[in-house]
Amino acid sequence: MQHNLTPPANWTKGWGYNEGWSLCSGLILAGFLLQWTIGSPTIEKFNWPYNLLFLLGFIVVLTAAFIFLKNNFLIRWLSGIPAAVTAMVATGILVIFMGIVPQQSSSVLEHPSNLLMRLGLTDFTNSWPFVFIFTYFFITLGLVTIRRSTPFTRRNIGFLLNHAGLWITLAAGLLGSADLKRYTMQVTEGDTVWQAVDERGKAHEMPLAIKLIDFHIDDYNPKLGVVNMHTQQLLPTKKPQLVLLEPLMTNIELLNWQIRIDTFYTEAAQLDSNSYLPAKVPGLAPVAYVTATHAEKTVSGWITPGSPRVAPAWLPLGDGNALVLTTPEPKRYSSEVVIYTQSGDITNALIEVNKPIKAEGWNIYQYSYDEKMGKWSTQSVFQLVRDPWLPVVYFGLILLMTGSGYLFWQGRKEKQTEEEQ
Amino acid sequence: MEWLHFGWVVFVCSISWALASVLVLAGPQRPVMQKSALVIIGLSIAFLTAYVVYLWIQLQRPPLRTLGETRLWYSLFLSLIGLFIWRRWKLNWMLIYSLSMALLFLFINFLKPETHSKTLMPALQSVWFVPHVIVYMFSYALLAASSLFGLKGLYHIYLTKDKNVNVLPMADNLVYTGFAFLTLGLIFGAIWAKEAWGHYWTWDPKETWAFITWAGYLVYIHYRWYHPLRQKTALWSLTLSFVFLLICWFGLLYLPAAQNSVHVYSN
Repeated sequence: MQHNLTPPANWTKGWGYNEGWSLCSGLILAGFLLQWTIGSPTIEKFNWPYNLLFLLGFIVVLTAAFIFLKNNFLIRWLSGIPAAVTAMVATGILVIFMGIVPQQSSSVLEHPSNLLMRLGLTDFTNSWPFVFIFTYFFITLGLVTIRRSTPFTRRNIGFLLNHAGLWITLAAGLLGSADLKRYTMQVTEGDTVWQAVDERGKAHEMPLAIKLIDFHIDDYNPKLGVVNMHTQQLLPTKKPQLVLLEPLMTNIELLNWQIRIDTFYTEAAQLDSNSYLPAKVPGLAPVAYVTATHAEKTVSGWITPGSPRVAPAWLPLGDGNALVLTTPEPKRYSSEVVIYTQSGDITNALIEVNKPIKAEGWNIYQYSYDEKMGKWSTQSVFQLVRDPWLPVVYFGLILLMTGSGYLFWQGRKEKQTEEEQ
Repeated sequence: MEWLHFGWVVFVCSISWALASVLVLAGPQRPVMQKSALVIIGLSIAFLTAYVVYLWIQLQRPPLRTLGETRLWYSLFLSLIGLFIWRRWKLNWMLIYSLSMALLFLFINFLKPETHSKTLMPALQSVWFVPHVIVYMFSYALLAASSLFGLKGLYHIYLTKDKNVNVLPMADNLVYTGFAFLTLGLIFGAIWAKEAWGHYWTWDPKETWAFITWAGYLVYIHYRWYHPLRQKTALWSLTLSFVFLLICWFGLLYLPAAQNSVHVYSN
C-alpha cells in the first residue's frame, strides 16, 4: 500500500532535509571552533542537583513548546522526520569519530597540544560538538515522544516504549555521568584503609573502610608440557601441546613419549633435592613425579614450576628437550574483608570478581591484585563505584527491552496510516 | 566431572532436529508435516531442558561456570529462539540455521568432554553472558540475510536496471527482527558490564562500533518508514549499516583505536 508520509511543503515553511544537514554541520563546526578556543566543557561541575534541574527544565520547556507553539513551523519541523533522521546521522558520525580516534579521558591529560586533542577528539564525550549535537538529538527525540503520547492509544505503546526508553536511558546516562564516581582502593593484608583514589590520583576520604583479612587465588592445576631446553620454548612451537593434570590421571601421551604420573601434589614443600612433602603453607608449588618412556629409553624424576619457596625442576628427556610443569593459571580470586562504616557498622564479607558487595551507597568490586607476586599476593585492589542515576538508566533499559519485544512481534506488519503532522 | 547420559541427549536431538528440518522443508502445503516438525522440536527442547535441570542437580550449583556448560546453554537458547522465530515469521532457513548451530555446540561438547570442567575466566561467569552472545548470534544472522537482499536490490537498480523489483519489504522484516535482537544485545552487554566491571558503558571500541551499527539500522528503519518509495538511499543505508556491523565484528582487530579493547579475544 503506497502512501506519502512527507507533509506538504508549507507545513514547515519548506524546511526539510537540507535545513537539517545545514543545522548539523553548523552545530558541529561551531562546536569545534568553541572547543579550539575555550577547550572542553567542564562536565564534572554539572553534578547533583544541577543535572537534575537541567533535565527537569528541559522536559518542561519541551512540553511547553509542544503545547503552546504547536503550529510554529520550527517546532513542527523539529518533531518531524527530516530533523530526526539528520539528528541520528549526525550522532552516528560523531560516534564514528570516537570509533576511529583512540579515546582517553581528558581529566588525565594536562596540556592538550596536538590537533586531535585541541579539537576534543581524544575525549569526545567531553567536547562541545558532542554537547551541541546531542542536545539537538534530545530535542527531536523528546518532541516526537511528547507528540505521540497524546492521545494515548494502544497502537502507540510500542513506539512510546522505544522512544521514551531511549530518551530516558541516554539522558540519565549522560547527565548522570557527572555524579558517577569510580575510585580504587589498594589494601594490604592486615591493614584497614579509609581513603580511596580517583582516576587522577586524588585521594578521597570515604564513609567506609576496608580491612583485608585474606586475599586468595584459586588456581587451575598445572599443565604438563615438553620444552626445548635451548630455546626455552614449549613444543611443538606453533601450537604447544599441553595437558592439564587432573588428580586421578595416570597415563598421558605427549609428543611420542608415554608418561606415567606416579605422584602428583597440587601443593608441596621441598625437603631435599629428591623429596617433597604435600602441605598447605603459603608459597608452595605443584609437584609431580613422572616416568617417561620412548622406544627403549625410560627416564624418571620430579618436576615442578617452582615458587618462592620451591626451586623449579624439570626432567631432561635426553634429546635436548625436557618435561616440565607449567605455572598454574588463576581460576578465581577473592578477598575476605571486614567493612567498617562511619555509622559504626562492622560487616564481614567476601568480595569476588563478578560478585560485588554494597556498603553505604557504594558498590565494591574485586578489581585486581599485586600481579608481580601473583598467587602469593598479599595486596588486593578494589574498585568502589557510586552511580546514583543507575535506577533511572535501568528503568529506561527496561522500556527499551519491552519495546524490542514489540518490534520483534509486530515487525513491519503494523498497518500504516496517514501520519498526522 | 563427567556428564552422565549426555550421549543420549546428543542422539535424541540430532535425530529429532534432522527429521524436523526435512519435514519443514516439505513445504507449507503439508500442514501435517509442519505440525509434526513443531511437536518433534518442542519435545526435544523439553528433553534438553530436562537434561540441564538434571545437570544442575548433579553439580549442586547452576551450570554457569565452565566452557562446556556455556555451550549447553547455547544449544538450548539457539533451538528455543529459532523455534520461536520460525513460528512467528515462517522463516524456514532461520529454523535450520538455529538447529544446525545448536547441534554444532552439542557435538563440540560431546567430542571435547574436557571442556565440561574447564572453568571460565571470572568475568565470564555471569548469567548475562550467554544471553548477550545468543541474541547477537541471531541478530547478525538476520541482518546478514537482510544485507543479501540489499545487495540484490542494488544489483537490480544499477546493473539490470529493473525497476519492478522491490526487495526492501522483505529486507524490512528481517531488519526489524534483527534490530530487536541487536538492541537486546547492547542492553544485555551493558547490564553484564555493570556487574563485572563496575560500569555499563565505557565507550570501549567494541561498544562504540556496536552503537554505530545500531544507529545505522535505526536510520534505515526510519527512512524506510517515511520514504517507502525512495529505494536507492534505503539500499545504500542498508549496505553501509552492514559494513559497520562487519567492522564491529571483525574489523576491530585491525583498527588502532581498538587495540586496548576488553573485547579483543586474541592475544
